[in-house]
Amino acid sequence: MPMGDWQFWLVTAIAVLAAALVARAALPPRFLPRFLRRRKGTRAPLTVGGKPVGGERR
Amino acid sequence: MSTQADAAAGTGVAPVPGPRRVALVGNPNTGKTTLFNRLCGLRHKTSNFPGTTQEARIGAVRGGAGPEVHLVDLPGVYSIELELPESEVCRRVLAGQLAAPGEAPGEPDAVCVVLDATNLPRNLVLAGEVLRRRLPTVVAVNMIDLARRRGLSPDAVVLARELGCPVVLVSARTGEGLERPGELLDLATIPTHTPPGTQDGVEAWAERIALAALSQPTPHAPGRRPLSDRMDALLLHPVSGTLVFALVMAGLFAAVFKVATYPMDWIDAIFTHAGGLVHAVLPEGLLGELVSEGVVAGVGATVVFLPQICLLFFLISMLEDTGYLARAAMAMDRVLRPFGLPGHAFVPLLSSHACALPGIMAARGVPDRRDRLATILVAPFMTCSARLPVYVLVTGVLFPRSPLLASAAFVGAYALGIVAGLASALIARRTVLRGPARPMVMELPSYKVPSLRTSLLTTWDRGFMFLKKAGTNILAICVVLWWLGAFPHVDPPARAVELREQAAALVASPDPSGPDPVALRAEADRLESAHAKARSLIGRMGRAVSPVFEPLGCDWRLTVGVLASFAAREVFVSTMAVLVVGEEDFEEEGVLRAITSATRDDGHTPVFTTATAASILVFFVLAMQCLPTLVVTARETGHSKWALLQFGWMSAVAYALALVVFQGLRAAGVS
Amino acid sequence: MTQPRTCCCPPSVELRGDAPAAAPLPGACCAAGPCSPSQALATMRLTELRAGQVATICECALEPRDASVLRAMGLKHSARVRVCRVGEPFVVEVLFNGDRSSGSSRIGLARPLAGRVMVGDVSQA
Repeated sequence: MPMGDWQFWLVTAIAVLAAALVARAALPPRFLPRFLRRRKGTRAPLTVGGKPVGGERR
Repeated sequence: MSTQADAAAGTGVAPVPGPRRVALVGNPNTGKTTLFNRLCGLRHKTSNFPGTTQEARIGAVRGGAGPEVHLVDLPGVYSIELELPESEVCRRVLAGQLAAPGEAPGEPDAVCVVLDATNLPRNLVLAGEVLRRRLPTVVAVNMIDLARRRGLSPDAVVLARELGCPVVLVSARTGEGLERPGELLDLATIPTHTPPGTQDGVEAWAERIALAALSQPTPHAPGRRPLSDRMDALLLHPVSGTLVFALVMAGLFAAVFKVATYPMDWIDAIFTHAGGLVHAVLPEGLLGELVSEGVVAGVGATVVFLPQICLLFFLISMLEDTGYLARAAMAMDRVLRPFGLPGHAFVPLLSSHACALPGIMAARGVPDRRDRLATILVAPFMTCSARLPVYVLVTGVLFPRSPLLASAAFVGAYALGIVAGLASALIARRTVLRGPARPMVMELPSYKVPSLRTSLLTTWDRGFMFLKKAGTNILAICVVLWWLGAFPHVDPPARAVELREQAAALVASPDPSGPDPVALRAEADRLESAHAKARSLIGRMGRAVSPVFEPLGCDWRLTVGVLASFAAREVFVSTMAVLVVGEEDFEEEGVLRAITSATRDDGHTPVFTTATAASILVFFVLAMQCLPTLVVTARETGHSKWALLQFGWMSAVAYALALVVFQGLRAAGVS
Repeated sequence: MTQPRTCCCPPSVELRGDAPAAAPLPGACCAAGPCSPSQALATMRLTELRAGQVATICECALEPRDASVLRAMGLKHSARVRVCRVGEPFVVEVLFNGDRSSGSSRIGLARPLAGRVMVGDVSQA
């Protein structure tokens, strides 16, 4: 490995980032480390008078 | 439009300032998407509602009096109270439980209900269900031009009075009533009446309002057989319908492969020149190699297929808009049912010919769970556009001097995918998905002249998604593969050193009868590059796994190509490009030709022999080589076991058949 | 599955609790008593109609989930339908207000499904 070449470290860093991107796109979240997981979508439970409205789960 | 707005204002409801987020709700086939496109144009993005498989299109509408409006296109539903996934998404969005990605949670600020003017009584039931929620609402009665041609003239004033909210008569197709698009959504007000709470009540309410709004209906002309009946008789007939279907499909794919060739050639030329330009501009070194050999060659080999994808989606969208696609699905029910698939599976399977991802997502329109699972499991057998690069490459190798035979091999590959898919569906329905078949029911939309605007916007949407994929995932895969192929650096082989010394000696003391020093250096370059690639990390990985793929005729390069394409099929050609670029002068002959003429480590056996090419073709037709598809399968089916079954079954079938083809050809004397 | 209605009574008419579950007699479904013979005898399968005939839907003898989807599509009790195409698939036009003057929608049905839709009050369009 050309450790003394600054370009080697640059292309290696780019490749590591690319590998992370591939893993993030292709693997289900549970197989990924926490920092690679996608942010979950916004969900807010519907409440009426402080009580959740029943029967609306997903 | 202002007249209608005044009519609505006449109900005594004062318009409120323009809403921020507006949900677009309507029955299927009401022209909802055409209206969305008319209001938002290109200013929209497509994603999924979080935690669901329902597509969420959010567009920005400008031109209204208030602040900018974000329009959320909800799935087309007959009723938001049904126990169907799309109805549930509508319920949850209207209740503020679900928001499109990037949107704040909470109830939408307003709802725009799209009604089909030719079918008011049924459409008004959905309007009633929405109005019951007491959100600021505006009703757009769409397809008013079509309704007028049929002698239907809904009265906007009566409708607004009866519904208790503003009503606008529009034609999203022609732009009638939408001269200032933003104003439509600014009209939304909280309804002054509440429709009945029961289903019977809201149906009676809808019928009463429709009759009041259509106070002067055109008398029905008895005895005359409508044109739609005659068209349906032709298109749904077992013989004429099948013939028309075959012609339409043949025309569709002929257009895709014939017309798309020209822009494909241009794109290939652009990337070939870009590779040369990068070499000239960037300084010598690893960074320049990464850009020219990894990025430009790799991404270029994929982006070249953009015209085919765009054209296929454009034509599918046009067909859908004419109303033919629904008839084709109905007619295909007859064909698909013996294999345990419903006619509903037709559109998902046709879409899968562009890409399995939208195909699998379209399978949510299949009502029965077993039918849906079977459709999802076999959708990736259909030849997606990602396989096209491999087909083009391999059929070119198989029949280099006969475009006709190459085309026949192409068609054969398509047919093999369809046959394997249908046979797999049958096996699945007899084993893991055993159960009674559910008969099909489907609304057949009116025959219409397709909207060019809608089709172009759909094409833009899909093409952009593909480019995004090529610009992110495929680019990333190419970068990783280049890195694995570039390191570790190794000493050049003795033969290459010898050739270079020989060339240097010839330059110092030229010998007219001796070999050309330039040719000697080129041969030395090829040997060095092949040696380096074979000993690189990816070469070692390929060699480690190659015993598995050797029976299919693969050398280590093809093994690496096949392995890399398990992430995404289109990466195969990119991988082969990354692996052979440097060995071959692709700037002169083009990437695809460089790959087909590449040789194995011995320097003379082609990487693609005839038998290997045939076996690779069969393998790529049948194998499950797309990680995103597996992820979507797991998500759509709700369980990763279906994704694993899909992967295991398709890979096993692909390996077995490719093995039979390669060994069979070898036994027949074809090398 | 609920006891299928075998007559052309409006949906508000209560069903008999003791009506036989299997092979119900035409018109023997209503708590108010048997329907008139003309109504009861008029009940037939949708698939028995010819192209161009118009009829009123009496009952969709389907699972509740399927019936609710058909109902949302307009194929509900007392809806008038015109047969556009017989055979496989079976195509009907749902007529609102009895004819096409108030709008209509066209629905394709697999023949086995159409065979489970009972109709009455048949007339020529």
